[in-house]
Amino acid sequence: MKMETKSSSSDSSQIFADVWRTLANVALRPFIRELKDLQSRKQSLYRILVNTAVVAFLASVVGSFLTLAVAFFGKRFAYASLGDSFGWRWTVPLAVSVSVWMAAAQLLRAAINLQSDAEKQVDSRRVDDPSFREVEIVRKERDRLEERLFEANLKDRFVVQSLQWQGVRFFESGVYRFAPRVNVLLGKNGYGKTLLFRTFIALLQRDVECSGQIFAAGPAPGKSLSTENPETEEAQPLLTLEVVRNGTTETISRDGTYFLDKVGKIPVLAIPDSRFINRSVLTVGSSATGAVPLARSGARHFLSQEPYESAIQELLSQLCLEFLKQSSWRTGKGFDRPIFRLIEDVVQGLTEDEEFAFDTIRESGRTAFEILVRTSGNRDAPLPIQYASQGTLSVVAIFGLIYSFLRSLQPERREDEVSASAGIVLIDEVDAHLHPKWQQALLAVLTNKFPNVQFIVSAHSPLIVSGCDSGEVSVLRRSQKSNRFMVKTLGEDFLGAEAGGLYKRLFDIEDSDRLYNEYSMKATMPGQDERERAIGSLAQKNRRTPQEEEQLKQLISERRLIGRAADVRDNRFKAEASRAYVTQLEMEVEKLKLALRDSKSEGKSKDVLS
Amino acid sequence: MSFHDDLLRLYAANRIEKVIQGADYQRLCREHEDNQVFQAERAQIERVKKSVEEWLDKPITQAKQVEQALSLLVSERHELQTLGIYYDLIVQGYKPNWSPAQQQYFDRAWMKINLRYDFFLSFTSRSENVPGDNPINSDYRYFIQHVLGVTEFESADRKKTNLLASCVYRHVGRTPMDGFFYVHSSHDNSVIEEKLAKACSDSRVFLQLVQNIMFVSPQDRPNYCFFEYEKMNQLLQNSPDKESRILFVVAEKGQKLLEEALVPLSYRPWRKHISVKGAPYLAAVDLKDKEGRIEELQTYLDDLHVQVKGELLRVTTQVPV
Repeated sequence: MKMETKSSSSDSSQIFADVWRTLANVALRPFIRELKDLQSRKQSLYRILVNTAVVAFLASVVGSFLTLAVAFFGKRFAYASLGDSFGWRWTVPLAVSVSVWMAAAQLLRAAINLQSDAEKQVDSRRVDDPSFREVEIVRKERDRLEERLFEANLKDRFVVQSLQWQGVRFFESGVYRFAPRVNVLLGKNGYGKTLLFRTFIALLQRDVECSGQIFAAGPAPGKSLSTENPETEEAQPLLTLEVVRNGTTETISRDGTYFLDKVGKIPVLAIPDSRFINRSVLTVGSSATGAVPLARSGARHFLSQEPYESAIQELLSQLCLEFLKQSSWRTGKGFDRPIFRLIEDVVQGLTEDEEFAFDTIRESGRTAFEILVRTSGNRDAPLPIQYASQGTLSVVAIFGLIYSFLRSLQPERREDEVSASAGIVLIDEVDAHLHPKWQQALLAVLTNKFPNVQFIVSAHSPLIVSGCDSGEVSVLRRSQKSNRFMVKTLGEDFLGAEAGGLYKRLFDIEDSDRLYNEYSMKATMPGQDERERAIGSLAQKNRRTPQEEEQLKQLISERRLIGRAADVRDNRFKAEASRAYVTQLEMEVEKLKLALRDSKSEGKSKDVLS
Repeated sequence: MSFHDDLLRLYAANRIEKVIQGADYQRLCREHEDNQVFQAERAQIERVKKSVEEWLDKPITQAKQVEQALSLLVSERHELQTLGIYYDLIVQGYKPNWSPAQQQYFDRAWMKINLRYDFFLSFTSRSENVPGDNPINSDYRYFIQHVLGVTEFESADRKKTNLLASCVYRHVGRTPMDGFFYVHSSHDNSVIEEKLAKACSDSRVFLQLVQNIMFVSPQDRPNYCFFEYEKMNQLLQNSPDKESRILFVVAEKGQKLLEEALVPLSYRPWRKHISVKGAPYLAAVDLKDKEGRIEELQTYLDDLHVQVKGELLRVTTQVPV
């Protein structure tokens, strides 16, 4: 019933609206040509004028009707019912209503015309506005300016000083200070190493979109960060990168919208973590994309997250071309060039295989080549370079790319001086695919071969930091208070540091051992005797079903792991006790030193007083 | 209540060997037998508890136990993941047995230990309008190269930066100390004061590298060094340890502070404070007797390191009996 009432009331209001609209059409048609235009206007002024015109129109119609009726049906009727004053009493309201109707309609027309004119003017102004009309020219001009700045930057020497951030996702407002030679950023997976590095590279490369991702509300592309509180900090979003250009500080900064400086794009080589080569293809083809110098394209793959294999293939292709440049390449003597010597030196040093060497580069089909290398294991039968281990290929890629990058920065420089050029190189997860021994040596080799390059690397392995100086190692930590990440640069050096201590100091690795966590807990729970009995009874059986066999295996494995975990737990307790003892002694020594200092300074002040 | 709180309660109440025999512990383990997060939490809390036992479960007096508890918290203060567990185990397991005075002392000391920075380094990058490097970088050139290395010295912007401040920071802030070191020029000016004020209130010791240029009001911006000093002075106004928490060291080649008459009126109490405290002077390091001077400066900075560390150690040694 209610629904019927509701629908009937809505029907009647619809009928009323239709009637009203028809009346408006009739009343305004003589004055306004395009009534459709009127219907699209919702402003209250228009509505008031329309309603006034309709009401006045209705009053005029009624008034006219009555006037005509009087004229046709005679004076008697009129005088009898309305009296002597009929003449002016009826004509005045009729005249007023007609005037109001016409005035409202005219006003409405004037308002529509006025607004249309204004809109036309705005449109024409917009077309005349340089930012609208010449947007293409402006954009081209900006690109030209950027290009000029970049060309100038190619000639200058840059050293990155610090990266500061506030109002960003995941991280507490903070600063990452860079040392001039080596910077290692350590952190667990999901702690934002790559996000921080991408932001840093995007600032250097003036990539608005990529550098702004750290502000954005959505999840960052690539690896997700393991935080339960990812909301952006309340501070105004701001990124500041301080660089020193030929000894003078310059600041690159961007807020939530755009860059605020005119430093321009700075060349940088950014090598991503994935440096795989398809080892099923043993030939090296010419580049499909054409060789863009690394000075320009050195960060492209890292920022766009394109697979890096094409860049490595490009490097190998360049190596083949280098080899071809030597007139005697067919004789196999074309390897006497700095880039080949560099790669051979590095691989020989790291692998301790002094026989590692390029053997030859030979044609394979019309457009491809094969690079053959010799090692101590295959000195008589050289193998394609793709047969080398992933670690060796990674090292070849890293060193070869850095050399090519430096060369593209200063193409006029002599080949044997290229390694001494300055530049900024970032390597994400530099320790990937490398043997621990290589990890320990890699940074020393990099800084030795490229003494003027500022290296910024991330790693999972603390072994990488062996030999680093104070201020060169930073760790990403999560604050318990804010549940956000922060970069802590360590004030100590790592000369002669040992692996075990490094793991504990930098990663708290002990507590994240899943097997230990599980079985050390089981070692503290009852049920050991039951397990022993079950093993005993199953072992005594002459014939066991497959299920029983499986159960026995599981029980024995569990017993072994629980036993091991219990041993490890005991050892850790002993280590914890020793650590506590040593720390207590160290603190006692510190307190004694302090007491001695206090008594000395007290003595001094007494002397002064006396 | 989460299993984290349950584990803390259990481990705080008893020694480890007793905890693992308890019915509550066994029930909790059975409930979360396949939960890897629980297993990791349990292993971590157990390790921390072992450490706490090694420090506190000895035949010692209550006062010594409080001292040990505070020493343990001092030594673990940079371990962001576990510091809270140490604190909770101590507060739940040991603090109730201490006298009210000891409890109060522990709470006050914890507030001091829990400050984010061991020290706040206040310095200026301003210099008189002279061509070339900031004089502080040329006056202490050999010391800077000794501490930071030649590469860092060569690659820095020596006109705009104060590399001696970097040396002081590196020397005083060497492990296990952690300081606040703010490079003014590179930040968004609108929030500088807010950041500095926050860092001051988060720092245990205020260390100012004094230069005469600090007593000259800058034309275009506030005198941040004065702002920092004022802020810290205010914060420590009623603190009995104020004098040991505000330290100065002067770096002027002429080894003389600006005459009081030449210092603006508002800065005079600040200048007076520096001279009353008898702040040490860092002698400029030129070629003549380079090695001797470097050694001398290092001794001064070592002493500052000891003073900054001392401020932390002292909280452990004055426990009421």
